Amino acid sequence: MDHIDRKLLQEMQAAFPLAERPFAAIARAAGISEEEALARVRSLAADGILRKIGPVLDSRALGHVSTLAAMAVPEERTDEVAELLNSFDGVTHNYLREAENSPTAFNMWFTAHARDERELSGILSEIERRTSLKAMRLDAVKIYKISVHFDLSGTDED
Amino acid sequence: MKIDDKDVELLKATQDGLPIVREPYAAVGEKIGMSESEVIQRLRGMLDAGVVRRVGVTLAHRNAGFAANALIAWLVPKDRLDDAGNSLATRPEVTHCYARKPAPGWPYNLYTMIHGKSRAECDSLIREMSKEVNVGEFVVLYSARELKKTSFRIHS
Repeated sequence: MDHIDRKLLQEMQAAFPLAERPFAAIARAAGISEEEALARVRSLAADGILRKIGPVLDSRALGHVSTLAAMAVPEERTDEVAELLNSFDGVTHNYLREAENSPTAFNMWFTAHARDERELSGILSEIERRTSLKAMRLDAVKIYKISVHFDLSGTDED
Repeated sequence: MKIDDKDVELLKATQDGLPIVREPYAAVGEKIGMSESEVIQRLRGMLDAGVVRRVGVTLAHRNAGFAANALIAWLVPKDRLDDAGNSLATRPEVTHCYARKPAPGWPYNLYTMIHGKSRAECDSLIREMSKEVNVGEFVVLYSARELKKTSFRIHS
């Protein structure tokens, strides 16, 4: 990644233009041609830096429910439990986390989405039943910030 | 907000990403039998209504140079929860900031996600954050392995 790539990503992060030729607008802002912008964006995608460009849905606005949950998974069962969790479409994020100063052994942290509360608690109880492990549920009560805008200005080259 | 069948069809056609071509909205429209202007108009409508949070890029942050990410669970006195949440949310390194209901044996009530170039960078940031909101009780959960990361999707 060079400074032009970063500039392109920065431009596209917050608002990708809803216009007929969005890459032309992005290219102008970065001081390059539309063709070059397209080529660069394609290689950022091929290199796995850019996951996708497009609408990011707000599941809540669509009436869906979600929660953060955590499980204490014994090390030797990590792969097996992860595979089960990940097989649910409603499980969108799942991380193995190191609990440095945690008072408990919660190490698998995941987010689950569903159309309604019944479906959501169904997913969690099925996970508990099939793993014989407890899933601690931490429902959101207030959102202060959701954003995935990274400050790319200081990112190292390459 | 109520969205109609055509909106759903459009979201399904774009939720995995727009094609990286000169006229991406026209390309999407062609696939689902919608004019370019209708595609743009419907996306704008859903953006204004909040169903679409934003139209933009989704980065694989690890590959974009953010090697470390930590979820920090804070134990904040109830009467200071909003102040702490609002204050931590203003930091650019904080991508998510939620108040959550504690669970039995797990009293933490405020959750922040931070991304940094290294653990050392995150560590010093966390010290700053702790000082800023005057909360000394917290758990730092560094991501050791990404097991799954997808976007919320519309199914069936």
